[in-house]
Amino acid sequence: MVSDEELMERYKAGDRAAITELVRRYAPLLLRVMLHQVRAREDADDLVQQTFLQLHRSKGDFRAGAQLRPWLLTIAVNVRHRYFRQMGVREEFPLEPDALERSQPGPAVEDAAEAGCDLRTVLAGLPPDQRDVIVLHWIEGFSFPEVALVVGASLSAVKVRAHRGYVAIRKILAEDPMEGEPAPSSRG
Amino acid sequence: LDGPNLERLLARVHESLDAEQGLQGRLRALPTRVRSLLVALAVALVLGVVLVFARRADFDAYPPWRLVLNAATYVGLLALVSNRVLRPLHRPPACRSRELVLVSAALLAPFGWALAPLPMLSRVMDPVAGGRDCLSVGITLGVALILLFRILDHAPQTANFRSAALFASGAGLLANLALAFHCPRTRPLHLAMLHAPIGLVLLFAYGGVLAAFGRRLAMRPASSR
Repeated sequence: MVSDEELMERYKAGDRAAITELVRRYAPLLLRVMLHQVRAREDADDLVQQTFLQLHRSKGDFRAGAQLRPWLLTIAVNVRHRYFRQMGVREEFPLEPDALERSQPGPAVEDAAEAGCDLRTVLAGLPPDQRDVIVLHWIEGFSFPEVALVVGASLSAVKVRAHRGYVAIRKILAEDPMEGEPAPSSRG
Repeated sequence: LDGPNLERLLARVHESLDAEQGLQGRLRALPTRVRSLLVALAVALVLGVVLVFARRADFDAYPPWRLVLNAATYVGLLALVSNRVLRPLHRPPACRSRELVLVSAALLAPFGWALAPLPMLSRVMDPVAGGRDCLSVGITLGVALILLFRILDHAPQTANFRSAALFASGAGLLANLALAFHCPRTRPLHLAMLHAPIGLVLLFAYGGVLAAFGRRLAMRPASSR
């Protein structure tokens, strides 16, 4: 199978089919990342499209040897930040069940659901920087070094955010036993 | 993301990529160092034109160290502002507080120079000669730089007051840089009223334009941007 980086090099060389393959590979992941914080599915689709547009605009900066996945995720996170900034609203979290139901949850979400946690409500109580780290590492399965690349923080800072996020989640669950009830969506 | 939705997304992505085939799209897709070089060339061109065709009347009498220091302040800040404006989205988000400090410094530096002690000229000059076109020249140059920034910016459709502040502070710096080599008036009142506020004037003008039209642009589907 052709690697992501090789596809990117091909796209830089003018191969339009390469971007098609990259969209097929990464659109589901990007949509999930967007839907973790964007309420409307249409807006999330729009942001995924913009992410690929930004990938095109940044292709000249992609260097051989770089990894595409954290690079693309950084673009996605920045596109989402800009979206919230321009709309003049605080970064939000979709509390409606349908927004996340339409995305495909990663294994950790399934585990959390099996454990009886309403992950959406719990994550909504976290600050955005901790939420990003928890979502990317815990839900999407990114390694800490990859998360550090995406959010632009040091490895130790990312681990601290993750730790604080976990502590905050435990606190939220301990304070409100209702949060521990199974999610209304079809997780289990 | 099921089959039909993925295909729809693919079609939208290709549509937006097709829209990037024009000159503006090609300029935006240039590597960051090339886009930075274009801004540097534009600034150098402005300076060259001013020095050759519209040099200040007291250029020979003005203390060169002061002119160099003045220009270095503006060029240094302008380089930092350009670096922020042209920052590609594959790099992690810029620190907001540092950006605020940079914008404040860029907007306030011209006032600092306006209120600095008067220079000692090496010969007597007419203190009110020239300098009648400062505001119009400065604003014209500033608007030109804002347009260049918008052409080279990776995401102009998401511009807001924060990016307007960056654009306008850069534009104000270029205007003051050019006027430092163009206008022979040294009185603090003239400098503080007609040179230094250009960045602020552009900030409110551009911020107002974005407030009026920016939200409307944001509401448009991405495929039509």
